[in-house]
Amino acid sequence: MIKIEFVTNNIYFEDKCLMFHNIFNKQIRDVIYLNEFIFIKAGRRIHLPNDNYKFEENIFKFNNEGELLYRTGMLRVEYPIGSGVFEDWEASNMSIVDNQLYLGYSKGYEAWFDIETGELIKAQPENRK
Amino acid sequence: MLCSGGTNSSCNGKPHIPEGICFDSFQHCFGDSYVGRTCTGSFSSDGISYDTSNSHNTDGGGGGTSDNNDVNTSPVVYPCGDEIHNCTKKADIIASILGLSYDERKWLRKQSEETILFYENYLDTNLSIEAENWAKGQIELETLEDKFSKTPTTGKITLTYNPGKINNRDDQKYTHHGTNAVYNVYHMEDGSRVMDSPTPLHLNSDGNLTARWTTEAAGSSPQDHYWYIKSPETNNQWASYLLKSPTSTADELSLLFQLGLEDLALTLGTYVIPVEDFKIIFTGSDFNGQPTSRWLAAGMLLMEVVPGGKMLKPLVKTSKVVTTPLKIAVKEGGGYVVKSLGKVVNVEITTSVINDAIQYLSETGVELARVTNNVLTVSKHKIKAKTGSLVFMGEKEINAIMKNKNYIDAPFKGAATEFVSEQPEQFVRFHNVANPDRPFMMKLSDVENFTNLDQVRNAFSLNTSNIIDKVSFFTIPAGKKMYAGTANDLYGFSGGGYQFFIDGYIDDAWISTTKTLTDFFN
Repeated sequence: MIKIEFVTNNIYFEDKCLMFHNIFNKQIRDVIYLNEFIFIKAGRRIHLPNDNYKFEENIFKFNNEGELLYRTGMLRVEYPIGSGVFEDWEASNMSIVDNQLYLGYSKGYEAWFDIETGELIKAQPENRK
Repeated sequence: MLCSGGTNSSCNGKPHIPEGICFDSFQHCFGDSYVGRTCTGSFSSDGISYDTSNSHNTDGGGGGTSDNNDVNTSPVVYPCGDEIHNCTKKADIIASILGLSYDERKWLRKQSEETILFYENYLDTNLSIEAENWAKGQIELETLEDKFSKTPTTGKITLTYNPGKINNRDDQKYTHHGTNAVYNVYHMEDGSRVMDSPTPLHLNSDGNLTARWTTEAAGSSPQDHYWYIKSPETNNQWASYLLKSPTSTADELSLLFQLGLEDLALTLGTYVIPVEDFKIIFTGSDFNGQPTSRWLAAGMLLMEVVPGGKMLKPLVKTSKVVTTPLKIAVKEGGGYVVKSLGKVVNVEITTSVINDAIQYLSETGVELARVTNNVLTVSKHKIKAKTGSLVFMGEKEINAIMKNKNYIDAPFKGAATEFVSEQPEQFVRFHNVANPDRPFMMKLSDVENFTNLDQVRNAFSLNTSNIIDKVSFFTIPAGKKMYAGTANDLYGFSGGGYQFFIDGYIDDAWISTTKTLTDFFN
């Protein structure tokens, strides 16, 4: 059994407890459980201060034993185009489509990642409202 | 009086308009031709015909025998035309049209080619009694100023260093003052020249308006004199200066807006009023078609800053190819305070006044912003914007911004605004599970009467490739930069809905509620 306490940000695996926020300084936002793997999208803590928060890989893949297999999801994009300014974006939504990790970004980007390795396959603007 | 000693032969047979009989004759003829009649026995100059039958000429178009010290008579030089159409003759034609006095005509003859051509072109392109009055007033003031000199001369006003304040106002400090017991002249600290007169000068002479000013503004106290100002901000032309008692900014505005109600004021030229340490410059066209007096009742004026000085113009209608800062004068504690509002970028907007609010409308009449009770709000939804954050921009500008943010299909149509929200704002967004938190949102009030998704897609041009099965309610925190404007017609949809683009990171934690479409439309 795997138990997730969203209020405390703790994940209880069979024989260990992962204090998610204490370790990663992020709050659990979304969880997908698929084929005995747990995918977690995390972000800034909502209702409490989140000092020293950094934009970084915010998609986590764990196995049933609580072992972190990879972190992924961050994009570095020149935004606005031609500005010469590159921003680091965390994923804002997470899905699994056609056995690929499909991530969306709140500034209107979408990206596909290899679900086994977490490697970026493709990223592009959504151009959809 | 005949020119050059009173004989025709002294005019050397050259066409010329001297003083006296010749002048009166030409005045009649040119006056008629100016209003469209044709003089007979004439030759043409720039479309103006005049009679040569009783010309009394002087060498080189000079000023006649009485003016030989003022005009270069030898060698003959025609700076702005040939022998016939030279500057002196042009000056005389203008003098005839305007019925200038001897001194005024003499002054005009001495002016540069540029000045004479300015008046000629102005009168050619502004065919009205008001335009004639304006030109005449300018020349009258210039003639008076021509008497001013920093060197004491008999009969002239001498400006001497004598710093002080007009009407004891801190914003009206001058360095030099001079008087001839009738007129007072001040050289202001900001470089402008101010003159007061006990009687209205021709700048304001226009029948009823003059009479009204005489009864309302003139009085025995110095501050009720008629004031005039000339500065680079008025293009170095004289303008009426609405200056009254030391604490009467409101009175000055009241007077100005009374003028605004008068049709007569529409073409009378330029007015300048001091507001705090700014001067506000109005032209007659600023009032055209606008119930401007109500702006005063609402206690506010929207301004654009004239580059290069502390001079403001009311923003009634503007079309700019550059970024123009905007200011708003708001009523605080009985006075007016100028505050930064934002800027205009390459867009034409209009204003209207409804229920004591100033509305700023796009070319198609969509409300972009308004000021009510000194509070600036954006769109018909009255979103409070931070002071100084508002930018009016054109369709090209907003869509260029969107393109750089990866929205290739131009999402906006017509003028739009950029602003920073003053307080948290509620929005809704139609989406699917994969894109709940994206920049484009709308106000609930714009979709709550829709009965199905097709209506939403049509109003906001939401592409059918964008699968939508949910509606989320967002609370966007204060201090977020947003763009707002009308949705373009795209993908076969009509557009026209009023959409918002939240700039920056959208946090899904801002979602308070998510509904299915069925729940929403039910």
